[in-house]
Amino acid sequence: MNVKQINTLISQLKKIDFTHARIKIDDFELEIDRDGSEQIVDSDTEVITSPMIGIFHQNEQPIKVGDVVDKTAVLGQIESMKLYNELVAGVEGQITKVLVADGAAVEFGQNLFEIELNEDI
Amino acid sequence: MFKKVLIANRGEIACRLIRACQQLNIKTVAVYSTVDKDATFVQMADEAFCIGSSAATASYLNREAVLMAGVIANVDAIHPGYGFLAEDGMFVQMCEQCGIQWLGPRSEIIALMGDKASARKFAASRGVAIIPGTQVIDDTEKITVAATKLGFPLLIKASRGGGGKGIKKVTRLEELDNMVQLAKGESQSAFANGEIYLEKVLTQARHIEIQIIGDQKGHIQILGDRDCTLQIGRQKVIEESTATFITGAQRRELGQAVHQLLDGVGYQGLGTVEFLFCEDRFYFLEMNTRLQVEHGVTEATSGLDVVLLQLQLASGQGKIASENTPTHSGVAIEARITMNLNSKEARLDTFEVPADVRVDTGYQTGDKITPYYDALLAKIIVHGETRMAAIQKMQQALSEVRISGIDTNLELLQQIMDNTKYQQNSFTIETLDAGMVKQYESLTS
Repeated sequence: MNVKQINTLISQLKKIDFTHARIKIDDFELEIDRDGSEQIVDSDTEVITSPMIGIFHQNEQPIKVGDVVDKTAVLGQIESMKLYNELVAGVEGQITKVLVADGAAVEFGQNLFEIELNEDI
Repeated sequence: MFKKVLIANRGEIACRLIRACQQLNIKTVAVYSTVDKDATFVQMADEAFCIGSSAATASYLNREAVLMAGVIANVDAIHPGYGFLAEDGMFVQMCEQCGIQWLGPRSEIIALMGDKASARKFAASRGVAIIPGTQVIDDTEKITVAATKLGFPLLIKASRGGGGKGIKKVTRLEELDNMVQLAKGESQSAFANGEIYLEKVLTQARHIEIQIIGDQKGHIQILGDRDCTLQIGRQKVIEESTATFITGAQRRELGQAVHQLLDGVGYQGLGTVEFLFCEDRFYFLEMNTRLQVEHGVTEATSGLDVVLLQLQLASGQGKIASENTPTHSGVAIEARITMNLNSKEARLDTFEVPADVRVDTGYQTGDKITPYYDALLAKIIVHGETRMAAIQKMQQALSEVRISGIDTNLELLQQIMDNTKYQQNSFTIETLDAGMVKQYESLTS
């Protein structure tokens, strides 16, 4: 198995709901554990997480489900110690979930938005 | 009393601080990095915030992130524990600006003592004996002159070092220039400051330190002394309370030196003044303006809970008797079980400790061990009527410890306890490095 094949296998596995898997193909063995509570996310979906602990502030025109965004789109601001930091999408696509409310405290790594990626990426 | 305190640390000390807060009905807020998500201290706290990724600079040393957690959780005070931001004057100022009380001394005192050269100068100005040496020195010719006068071997120390870090030993004049350049370079990259000074090597010395606490008005009380002579590569391995190698008169002399150093300074919170004892004289080494790893042995012999006392004093409750040192009974010994951390992640498959002695740890069976932070796995603290009784208890306790999944220094600790020189209380700060026990070679590589 080469790296590419392993990656393909793992991305296929992502779509299946399991917590523990053991796969054996000839000499190749793969064991995967997954936190059961984790959501199964399609590989063509990008989750935007918070890069820092802070307070989330939505845009004047708040981002909502269905909005189409490009890589430079600002999804909101995260305020930390009175400094406002732009949350930039970094990917192109359509917003499928808004997981944060205006004024909410967010932790490092917290899921904020889900974006369905454009096909051509 | 405080309503809510943020614990700006991880591992065993975070657990220990949370327990003290719980005893006083203070709510606790933990901050953690992504790899510590499932750690014991995160589970123990009333609230917890993920503040960054695994590298300490991104999380536990990230001033803004730690403070932001305190602002969001609306805490009254921050306890830094030891390490990380515990001696960061700038962080203390930031806390003050946010109206959050810092559980420690003022930022100016932290800065004064944090710069080891300025601390030496300050101690000397207060009439406390310092180790013969220089102030900050830069000129090559002056360094050569001063070094020749001091004699070899000597130590080059980084001003911003301390805690055994940033020290270079020079044995011959021919090595001096090279070592000075090396020391300056290393100090610049490690502490963002290249200042160095020279110090004489005190041979056959023992390390003794005085635990103090200051109330909000800066009255100082001495809580006890500790013998931390047994070190490997200048890192403490075994600590004892009280120090049994000094006489009552010497203890009074030390107490006087500490008051001379700190009375009227306005010192608040816990602190430790460290001395080297050599040829019947004490020399000021450095002061740590925070809680120390080995505070537990002082608690074992005095019956005090020093963190509880600190929280009470800092909230304006309770009083200290600056004239009296608490009575200490028996002898307490602490052994630090440390892990040999590889770059790889390990799993603590087995971790069993005796139930009848004090064990401070942040880990439990099944925990992931990551290479990002310090190597301390657990502190075993025993107390006996005599030093020998305490040693026997430690021998028993260590024999009951079961660890698998990661290499530790457990065998080294057992060999120290079984060692005749150790049992006879006949050793110096160099003894372990000089090969007191045979395990030494393999464990310091």
